[in-house]
Amino acid sequence: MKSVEKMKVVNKSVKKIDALALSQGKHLFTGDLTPPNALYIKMLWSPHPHAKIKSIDLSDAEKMPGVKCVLYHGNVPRIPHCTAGQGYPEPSPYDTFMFDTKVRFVGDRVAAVAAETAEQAIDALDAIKVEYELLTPVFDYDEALKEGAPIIHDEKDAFVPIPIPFEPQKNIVAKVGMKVGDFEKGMNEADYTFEQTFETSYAQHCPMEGYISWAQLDPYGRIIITTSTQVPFHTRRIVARTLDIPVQKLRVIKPRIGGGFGCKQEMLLEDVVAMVTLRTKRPAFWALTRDEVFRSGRTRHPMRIKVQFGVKKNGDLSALGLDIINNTGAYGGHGLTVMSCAGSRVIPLYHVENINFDAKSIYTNLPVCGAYRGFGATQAYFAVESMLDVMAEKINMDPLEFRKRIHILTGESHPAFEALGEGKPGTPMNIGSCSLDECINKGANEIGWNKRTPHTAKSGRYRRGLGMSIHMQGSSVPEIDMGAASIKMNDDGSFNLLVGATDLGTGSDTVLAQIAAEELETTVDKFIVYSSDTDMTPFDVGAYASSTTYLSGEAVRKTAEKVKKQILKVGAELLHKKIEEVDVCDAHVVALDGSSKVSYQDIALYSLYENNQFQIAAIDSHITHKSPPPFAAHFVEIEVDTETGKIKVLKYVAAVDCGTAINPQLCEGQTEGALLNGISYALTEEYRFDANGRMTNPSFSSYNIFSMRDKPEIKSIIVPSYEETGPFGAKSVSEISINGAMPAIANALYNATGARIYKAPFTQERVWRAIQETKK
Amino acid sequence: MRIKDFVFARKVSEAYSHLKENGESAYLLAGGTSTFFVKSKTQKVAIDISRLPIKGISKKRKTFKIGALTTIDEILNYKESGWVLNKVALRFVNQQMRNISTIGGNISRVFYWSDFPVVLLALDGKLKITDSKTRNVNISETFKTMSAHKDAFKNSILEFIEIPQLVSDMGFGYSKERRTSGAFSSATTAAFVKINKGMIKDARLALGAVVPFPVRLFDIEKELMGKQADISTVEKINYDSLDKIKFVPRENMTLDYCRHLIKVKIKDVICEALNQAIGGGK
Amino acid sequence: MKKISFLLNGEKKEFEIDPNERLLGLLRRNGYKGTKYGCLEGACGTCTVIMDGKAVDSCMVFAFQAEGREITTIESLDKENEPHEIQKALIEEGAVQCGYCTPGIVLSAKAMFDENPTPDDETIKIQMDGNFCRCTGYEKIWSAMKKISAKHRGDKK
Repeated sequence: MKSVEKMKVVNKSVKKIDALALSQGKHLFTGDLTPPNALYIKMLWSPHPHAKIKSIDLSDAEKMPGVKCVLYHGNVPRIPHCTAGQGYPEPSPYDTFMFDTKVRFVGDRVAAVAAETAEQAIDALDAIKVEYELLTPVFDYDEALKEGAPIIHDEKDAFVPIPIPFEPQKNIVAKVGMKVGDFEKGMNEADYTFEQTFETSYAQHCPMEGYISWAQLDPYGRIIITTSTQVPFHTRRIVARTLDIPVQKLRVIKPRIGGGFGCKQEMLLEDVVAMVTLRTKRPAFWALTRDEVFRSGRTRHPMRIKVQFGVKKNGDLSALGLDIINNTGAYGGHGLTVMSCAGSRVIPLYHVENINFDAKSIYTNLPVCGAYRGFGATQAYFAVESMLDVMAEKINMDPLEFRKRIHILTGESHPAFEALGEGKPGTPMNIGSCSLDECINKGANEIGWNKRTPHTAKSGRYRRGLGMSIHMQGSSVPEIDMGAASIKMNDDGSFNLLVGATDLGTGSDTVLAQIAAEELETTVDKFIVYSSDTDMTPFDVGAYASSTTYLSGEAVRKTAEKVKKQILKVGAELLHKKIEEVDVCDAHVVALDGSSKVSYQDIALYSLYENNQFQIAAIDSHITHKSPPPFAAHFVEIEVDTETGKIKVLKYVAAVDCGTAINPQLCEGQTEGALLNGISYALTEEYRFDANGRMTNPSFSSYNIFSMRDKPEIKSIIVPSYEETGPFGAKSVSEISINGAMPAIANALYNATGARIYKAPFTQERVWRAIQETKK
Repeated sequence: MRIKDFVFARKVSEAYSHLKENGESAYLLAGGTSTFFVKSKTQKVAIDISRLPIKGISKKRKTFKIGALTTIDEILNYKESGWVLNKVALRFVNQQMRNISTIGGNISRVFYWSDFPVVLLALDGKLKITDSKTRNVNISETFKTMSAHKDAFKNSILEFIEIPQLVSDMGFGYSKERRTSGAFSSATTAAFVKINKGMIKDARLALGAVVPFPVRLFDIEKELMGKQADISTVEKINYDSLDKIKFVPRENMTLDYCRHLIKVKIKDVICEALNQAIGGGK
Repeated sequence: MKKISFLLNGEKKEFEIDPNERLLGLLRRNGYKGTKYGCLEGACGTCTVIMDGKAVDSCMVFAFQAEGREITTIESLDKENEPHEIQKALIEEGAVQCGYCTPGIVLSAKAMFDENPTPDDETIKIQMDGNFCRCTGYEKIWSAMKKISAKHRGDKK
């Protein structure tokens, strides 16, 4: 195995293969490829948080100009399914129907219209008459769990495909738990114990391209769906189920997509576009407007996290308790997995032997939550990493030294790895690579941690503070998720690389080509990459769980290895050498004695046309057997206006260990994008609801994400390590850095003002009130 | 709102006759960015006045004369001593909106988040309006008959806005509380002061966003008039008069915090204005 | 339907339009799909085009407002044999991730540099504040702009 220093393509900042075309605005996205005669779909959404549909009268709507199709519960199959894109069978309740006789949140589907123009479809929606029987809604964690609370999912036909603790009569989607050692004993042994409850809010991913799909029939009657998705294969399977048609009849294509961050790990629009196409034989197009994305798209799970810690004077943690209630909204797709990761991606980071982890995911009549970068860990780190600072202060230790003392090290294991899977048992694992200490040192150096003074030394209206946090995440879902790739060689020594893996703008097409190029000793520009087409590319679960580099990348490397063997065989034949006497080098097969070489082009021509002809090609798959965590240390400097509570982020440093950075520039890009999203998640992003559970800020003017002008000074530092089990030593990088800002800023707020904050986002008022508390 | 037809006006008189001709259906369009917020379902005839010769800023003896069609970007980039509106333009939404939104448009249809109405109240802006004839009015007069979201200059064309040049002894302070650079204001305050021999001779204070329509804070102005032009006066301000105001806290703020925030911001803008006035108009 | 005409990427064009349609819709339905859309409310900037030298959101401009004006879309840069220096800089810096915001960013930047070839660091942030990017955290977009500005400053010597 080559060392990273000797690599020619991997660990190089190769420019993205689609960057030029994207910067030229080429017609690459779903909405750019729509056939001109497509019907436009618009959806009637529920205005009520909880109601039965007593009757729907579509007769007027059907007669309106341009209307070609209307869909509602009465004219589509009633097939329970789950919209979350996950491995089958999913660890989720099948609690969703294409159209139901009940609505469960403001923004739930009621009926769809397809018409010649969008305006005609909208006009037809107005002509739909619906009679609702209002039911009592429930919006609150405790209300939902109360005895006698309204049952949101009382349908008889909802079920769970694998045994998970699903109790819909109690509004419980799932429960997850883990006990290690003896928590009570650990708390009793502690010199100091702590307990605090933290709360986080709804948030939305805000990809610049919203949800958008279209479908058409091919000449053979198959339904071809082009869609902005992270999970083409799961989407195909789920649409087949909900339409009650064979998988064979469907093709799902993901072109370039404009971001996802988890919200498109879902089958959200595709069933309706496919159904309209099937009924009308016409292409059908559906794009959610931005307010529909906010209300009816997927969101981040709000959580209430009670954390308990026991610590000894010397800095040893003696107990950790995490009690989480996870609001999953009106449908339960990602309810179990997100709260599992709140435990599995957080608890193992710390040396503690007595652990109690208890989590419940509950239904409410609020927007549906789904996968969002960080996937539960983001919320849990707010609680846990805030408490680390509280403990550090109590035992009089620098929070940085405290963290260095208690984090997991290379070679170590943790019972949580085996105990916490995602609906199935977890996978035991030893940490194969961890450069977290170096991340901490480098980050601390960059922010100037040694200049930190306590809050007691600060005065005046504007006060500055420094805060930090440390993190781990995961790389893939071991034993469950699978990715595959195929490679074939062309006349001129170029290759087609076909992968199921989904590039959401992360650059995975490029990164996977780099891995293949490194293995094959050629260059990225020799690859024609085609991805995410259920007809043309081999299977891949899709872009989630930080899998693409670690899982799909290894599938690509293995495939390239197979192709390499075939190339060597032909090369040896052409050079009249034995196979042991040759090797690949710079797109040639060379004799090891230096006497001769033959180019890939000559090998291709020979193998395709001349003698012993065969297509040099291979296909291979990969499943992972561990989920090696990337690690990160984040540091932030803030300035607080103590009179208004406004927090200004001055500088943010993220030092990340992702093993080998296959493409360092892309790794930095992932880190920088994630951390800025983390900052606005901490400070400005929240859903506001009226008394009827209607989200009242579904627009960029009232749901606030950062512009370039809001960006603080940012420094991303990639700190290498080497993960044996990953392609060329790589781990994941895409999720971890969204986890840092909330705890790091909370800790910096304390360092600036002595105020602790337990509820996010840290709006001006919340910060101001926290500061007022310190004056009491 | 739906545009059913459009006409282009090249002269103010042309614009006015199109206005009269179309009556209730007429919709004056300058930059057009406020149309997004007009939620009625009516059909309108757009009268595109963006090509009228009522653009640009000129410096008069003691005032600036601003064409109603001057864009926020032009206001941001205008460089002349005594010009303070660049502070306001700098915090206006984003570049693309600054490039087409006009100051005239911003005061013709006032939303709670509108910036310039608050500022022009504090600066005692004067407006030149044309219908069958041309007249000059004080912006506070116009605001007396105006309510939020409604077209202020129905059946007339706003041509020019006039504001004082802030020469020495004058100062202007402005604050816009917002979560991110492009977000709407959740509290807007603006202050203008004029000092003479170290005493506050004139003070005007305006408030927006936390109220249904921008208001002058006359009672607080009275607290400042005739007093020492320094921080001690600011610190002694009695805010009891704020209790008379019907606040509309935005973004789920509590009334308590909203009141507190306004007090801090009033203090901030008055201090900013005083510092400028004391500093010799810099 | 009414007729309007304007200069589109340097060529005089005539279009039949619905008075209510936005410039964004007019452009896209005539094949200029380099102009994307994200919010339809003038916040995200993915639909940015240049109108009379200024970056504007085409979703906020009615099609008829373009009458007699000069409109530049991302496609205008395809005429050259080489990518524009802004496109090159963004690619070099690694500032293109999903690419959905990129055409808007290129045009906002072009309008900025055409008016002022050497904006300073803070001016860049102000002029580019109408183009959201959720992928990059803006860091590499900003570096790309700074590099272009520095290059222009260097060229002046």
